[in-house]
Amino acid sequence: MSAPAAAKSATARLTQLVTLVALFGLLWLGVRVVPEARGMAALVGALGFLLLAGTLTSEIFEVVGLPHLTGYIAAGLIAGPHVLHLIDHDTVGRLSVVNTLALALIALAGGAELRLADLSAAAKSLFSAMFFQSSIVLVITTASFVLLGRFMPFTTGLSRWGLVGVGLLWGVLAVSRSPSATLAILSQTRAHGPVARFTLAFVMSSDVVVLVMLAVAMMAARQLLDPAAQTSFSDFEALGHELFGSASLGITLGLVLTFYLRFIGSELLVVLMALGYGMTAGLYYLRFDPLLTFLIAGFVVQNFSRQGEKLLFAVEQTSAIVFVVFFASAGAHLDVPLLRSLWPLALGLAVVRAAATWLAHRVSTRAAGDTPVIRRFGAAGLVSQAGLTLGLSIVIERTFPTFGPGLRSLCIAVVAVNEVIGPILFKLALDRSGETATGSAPRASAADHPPLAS
Amino acid sequence: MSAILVLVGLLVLAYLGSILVGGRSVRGYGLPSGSEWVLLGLVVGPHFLGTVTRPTLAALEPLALVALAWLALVTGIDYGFVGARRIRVRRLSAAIVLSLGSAVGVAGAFAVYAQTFTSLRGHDLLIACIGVGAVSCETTRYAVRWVVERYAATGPLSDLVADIADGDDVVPLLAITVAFTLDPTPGLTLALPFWGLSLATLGAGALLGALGSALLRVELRVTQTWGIVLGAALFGGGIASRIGSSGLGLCFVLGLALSLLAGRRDELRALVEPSEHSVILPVLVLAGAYVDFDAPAHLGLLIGVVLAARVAVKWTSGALLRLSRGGRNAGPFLGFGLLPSGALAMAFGLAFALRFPGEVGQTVLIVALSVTLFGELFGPTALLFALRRAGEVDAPVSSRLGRKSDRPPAGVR
Repeated sequence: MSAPAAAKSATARLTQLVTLVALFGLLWLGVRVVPEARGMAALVGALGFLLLAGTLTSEIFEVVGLPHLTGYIAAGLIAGPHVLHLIDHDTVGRLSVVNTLALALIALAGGAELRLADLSAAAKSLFSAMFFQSSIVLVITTASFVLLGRFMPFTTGLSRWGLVGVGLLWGVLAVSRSPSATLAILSQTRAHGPVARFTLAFVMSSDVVVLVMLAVAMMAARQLLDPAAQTSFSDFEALGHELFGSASLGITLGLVLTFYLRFIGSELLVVLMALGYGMTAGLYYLRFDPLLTFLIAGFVVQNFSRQGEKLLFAVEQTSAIVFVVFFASAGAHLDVPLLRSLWPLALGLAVVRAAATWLAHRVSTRAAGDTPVIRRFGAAGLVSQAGLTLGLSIVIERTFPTFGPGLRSLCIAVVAVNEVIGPILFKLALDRSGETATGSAPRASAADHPPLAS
Repeated sequence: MSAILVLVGLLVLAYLGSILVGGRSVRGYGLPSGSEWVLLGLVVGPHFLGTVTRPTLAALEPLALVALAWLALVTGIDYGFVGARRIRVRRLSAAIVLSLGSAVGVAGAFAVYAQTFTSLRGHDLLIACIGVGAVSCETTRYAVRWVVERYAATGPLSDLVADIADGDDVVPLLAITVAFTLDPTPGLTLALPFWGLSLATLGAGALLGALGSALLRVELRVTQTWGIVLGAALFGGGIASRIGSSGLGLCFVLGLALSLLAGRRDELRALVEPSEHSVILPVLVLAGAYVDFDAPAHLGLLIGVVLAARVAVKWTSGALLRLSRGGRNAGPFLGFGLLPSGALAMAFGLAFALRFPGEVGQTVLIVALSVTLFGELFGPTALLFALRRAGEVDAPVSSRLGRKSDRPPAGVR
């Protein structure tokens, strides 16, 4: 992961600010001069703009201690279709091509960051957290959804048990976390310590648990929504196919990567790009989960070979670009009008989820006998939500077309809140627990830096 | 074939390119101008096998745009230098003048042909002439480097040819900018003449370069530097395409400005140069795949006229270079040694084909293809003869290939 930013002078910050303003000005001018541009020009321009503006905004946000990720999101949000409209809806949609690669690299890095020794050492803590987070957050968020159900137009006409069924689905969405946000914050801060390790291990492994929970919840919701419906285990069959298929392909990919790193090892970026796009397309075709596959591949390389650090280094070289584009386009995606219309509900549900997460964390850390630093700061990293949650909401929308679209809109609004607040809380926790490298990094002069080509 | 599969195929090519063109493991393999990759594109493209269809190519247009912009950026960063050696101003001027002369000569011959045998007139004819001139005027530095490195040539003629091949890139890049602005994008609300739009494009490149340089002066981390350089190239390429201008011209000026103003040319060059190798092969294959032989009229005649004109102008260029100290001992084949044309010419042709779909774009692309293939056949051999005659290649080739001591001399690209 990129080196922590050295403290920059006021001139440097001013340069960044002026450049950022100039970039917005240039794009504004471009949009004014050719208002109806679509297609490749708009896409490529937007990509470049988000990369530059995201980087600069994050640098400027750094002055007030905000995480880089917040800067990326802010840049996308401001330039996006709901605020300045410098990047239109169509272009934002087309940026998802880049996200395919980003997600593959993020998952690969996530898996490679999971070390078996760390997992074994924290096994008790992780099992405890997994159990209590999954159960307590599920129960509380489901209950809150049922209680607030009458304020949600898309639940009109549902029976009480039907509402509980939809609430269950909401509860599963609430249990999911954001691997990408977690990795982005750790990438920026280079945090090392119990809180960083716990959060990373928990968020990455909870991905699998959430998939299982979703399958169970969908089966239960079907019964609750229509008591006459026959119990179908088809979801489990699909889930088993997805999990085992993803795991076996992940292991195979991990082995292939290990051999490549061991015996060739050059041009890793191109290899990772080809794998990211090619494998993801193949995995979607086979209905496997790309996130899980790449996560396992990274895990295999890290823990069953000596090539883990090489892989991590290669992925980290791309992180400054991948994270910026991924989160800046997520910022551009943020549906501000929807958030404006649903904000009281979204904020309420987000607060309930955060409170439930905190409560579950208190219970789980006490049960596992965790260290005080994890007890105090460990919950902060579990608030972020992003692409994974939205992906699950799409599955629900497809399976339940009657209320699915409404539930997904609500989900987008809540994720928007958590996407902004979660990373700030996590970085704050890492800073305060003393695990952030930035805080202790010595002020570096130009001479201290490695040459660009290193 | 789906766009993702083609994309993965192009990434595999990028991988091969980084090895073959980069030359780390198999230096000297492949053809000097990379024509085999253009032919591969041609064969798998819609015109022959149809493995890659037109909708697939359309889906890959953003990728082509990015690759072209990046190639122009790298050319800009490295412009005026051969390796670490700065090209002298006189040589640079000579390269520009010869390139301009070549462009005018071939474009003139094409204009006569087009007025007689095609329906191209007025605006379209002017754009096509500029395009044909642009793709026919340069000598590819990759082929020159291939010959010089493969035969371990050193001496004044080797330097002269390398300088000319590197220095002549600016003419087609600026010509393309002018050609694109002759036909502004529909919906453009800015009422500027073509020269104003050209200057605005190049000015935007300079402005982005200056902003990028200011950022690079305060940002020393490698990953962030990548973000700044890549972001500037993409943004510049996108803005230029948005107004219907050339991302190539803008990114060339951007690269030049970064190189001049950031104060870290060597580091920047070391950073981006390996990526150039990865971009070249996909560009060549894509360019080959875009070729549509049905678009221009009287294809054989077109190719004949353009090739005859190019041979004539390059022979004249060679004759003029022989008047200089470096070219004095080169012999009569020097001009033919300047015939190789490759990645940049094909990139320019591809840019035209993307920007002007139909007869104009395809004519320019087919001319680029023709001069590349023709140059591949005769150029490297002629250059080798000239170098031998000048006494800059002395040992038999077969005895030296594959030895570590055959590494290219410092400063030769």
